[in-house]
Amino acid sequence: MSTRRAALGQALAAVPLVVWFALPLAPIVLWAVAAQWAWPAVLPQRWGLTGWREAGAAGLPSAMARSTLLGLAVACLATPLGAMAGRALGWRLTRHSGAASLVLLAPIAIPPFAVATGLDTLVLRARLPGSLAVVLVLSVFALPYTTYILRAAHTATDPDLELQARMLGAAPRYVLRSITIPVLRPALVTAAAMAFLVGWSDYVVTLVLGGGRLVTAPMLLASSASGTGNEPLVAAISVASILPLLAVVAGGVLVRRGRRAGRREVPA
Amino acid sequence: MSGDLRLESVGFRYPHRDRDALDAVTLGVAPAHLLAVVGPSGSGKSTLLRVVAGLLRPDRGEVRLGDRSLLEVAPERRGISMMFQKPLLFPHLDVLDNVAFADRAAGLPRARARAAARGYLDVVHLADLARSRPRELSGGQEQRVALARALAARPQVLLLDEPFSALDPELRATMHALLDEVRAAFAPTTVMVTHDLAEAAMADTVAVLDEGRVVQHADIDTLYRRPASITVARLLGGFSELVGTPVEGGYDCSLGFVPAPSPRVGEPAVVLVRQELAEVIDEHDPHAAASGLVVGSTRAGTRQVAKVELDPTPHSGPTASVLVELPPGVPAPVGRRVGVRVTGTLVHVPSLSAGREARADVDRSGEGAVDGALVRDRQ
Repeated sequence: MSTRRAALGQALAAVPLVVWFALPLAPIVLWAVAAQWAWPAVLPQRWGLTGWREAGAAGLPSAMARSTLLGLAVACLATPLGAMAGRALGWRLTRHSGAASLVLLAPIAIPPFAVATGLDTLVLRARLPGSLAVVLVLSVFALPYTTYILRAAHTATDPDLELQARMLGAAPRYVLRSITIPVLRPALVTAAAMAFLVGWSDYVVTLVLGGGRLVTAPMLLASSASGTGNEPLVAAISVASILPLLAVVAGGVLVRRGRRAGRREVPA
Repeated sequence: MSGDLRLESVGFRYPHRDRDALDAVTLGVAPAHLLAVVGPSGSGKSTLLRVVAGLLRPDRGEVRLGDRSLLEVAPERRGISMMFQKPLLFPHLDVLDNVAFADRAAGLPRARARAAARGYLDVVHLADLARSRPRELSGGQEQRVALARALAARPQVLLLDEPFSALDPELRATMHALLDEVRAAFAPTTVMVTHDLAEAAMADTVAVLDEGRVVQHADIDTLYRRPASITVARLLGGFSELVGTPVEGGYDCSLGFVPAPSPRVGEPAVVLVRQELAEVIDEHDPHAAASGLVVGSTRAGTRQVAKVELDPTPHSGPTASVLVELPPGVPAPVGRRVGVRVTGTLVHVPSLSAGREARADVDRSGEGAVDGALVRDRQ
């Protein structure tokens, strides 16, 4: 009985949370499938996929693909770097952790426009391709998040686990595969998701360093939103933009379920 | 399975420290023997294990297993397993996979590694917990799994870094019995760091480390009867320290004359008396070497130790007192005047000029003799 009550309590507590997240999304979901929705009607007067057709014509699929690739590239770069930094900070392997933390925080402490503009000058001087520059700079922006997630994970993990594995005959590479990565898996997934979202949702860096040639979903959204009378288009792009977030959340849930089910094996 | 482990003049200093953690450590452990390493905190015990394990590289000296130098050998290739103070079970693996880890790391297929692991789980009497997760185990069970896992690596040398120190006394006793079983079955050469002298007593030999140096390496009996220094005696506990004034043929102390060769005139020494070799008797008993007042007592299990403040003598310091172990069941006569008798035959005298100890066994089993007494220079 008490378990049932607790479950009911949890469900009731979740209601405001769901409302908090769902309420702002409700209008754009409705707009995305509306052909006409004039004020003061509560619901659209006519339904349709005009917004999606316009989004397709505006290049939404390729922009989504670019954003996804950008997010993945940033996650691939910022997660291992964050793991290394988090290891050094969490296990106090460096004597200057304060200074290191400050340096890592700098990209998000300084206004992004200032950082992007400053780095743009450097990128031009270094003759780096725009896309590569965007990936590198966004990785720097994602690094504070990945580092702090993985620092917390390392702090909660006993560094002697790795030594113990070596004392059982495991070479360093096997220790990495069979102990370090599996033990840190939830934090690594969370950090990668954060880095992906930093890359996926960026506007400023892509605009400044990409020079307008790298059209991503947020850039398409921003340019569409700057016009008027195209609410279905903006809504369709917005709804599409939520999909990666949902994919990331679903991935996180799957990882946690897999961990609970205990299907881990030691790699050969 | 076991190997002859030798450390030769091993020195090691941590970065940014002003003294060596290990200084010219030379030790040997015969195949299948158990060496206990004891010493105060910070004396270098765990550092010693980590050097043997290969987790730290010594600045000087040599570590050998049989006739093979281990210095250039990676930790995972040394044939050495180590159990840490914490069980350090891998949280993402079940108990059986934890025990199978070494075989998996060696490339054995999972099914075969798990089959082999079952045998080691049997040894530690935990076969029924094979599918459990580490978080579902008690502290004692975790350490047993850790022991099985270490054995499953089939090490030539097993290093134990205070692995039972976090367990309650009952569990610790169980683990000691299990360790005995395991040693009988697998006979690994074992080095065990411990703070627990009862645990150290399980060992074939005991090395006492102080400030990174081996100050004594002997069997536990020798260690108790002939501690090499006051540091060792204090570490072992149960010794009374008395001022010894050099006189012709020995030293005078609160318990009378202690015979010793070549006492150095003008340099007082410290006479050490083991508590179980002193005896409370009647104050007026002619066998009493000294008399005094029982000022207190302490109890450790069934054993009770009385503290007797001795009457001042011309040779004693201002507060000479001696610890006396009472027979089981005898109440401590706190507040009563008693006589103290010390029996035995052994006196140690340090050679002050040479800076090393010259021992003399003096058989004086009669009245007033001092047993288990060690005379040496003050530290």
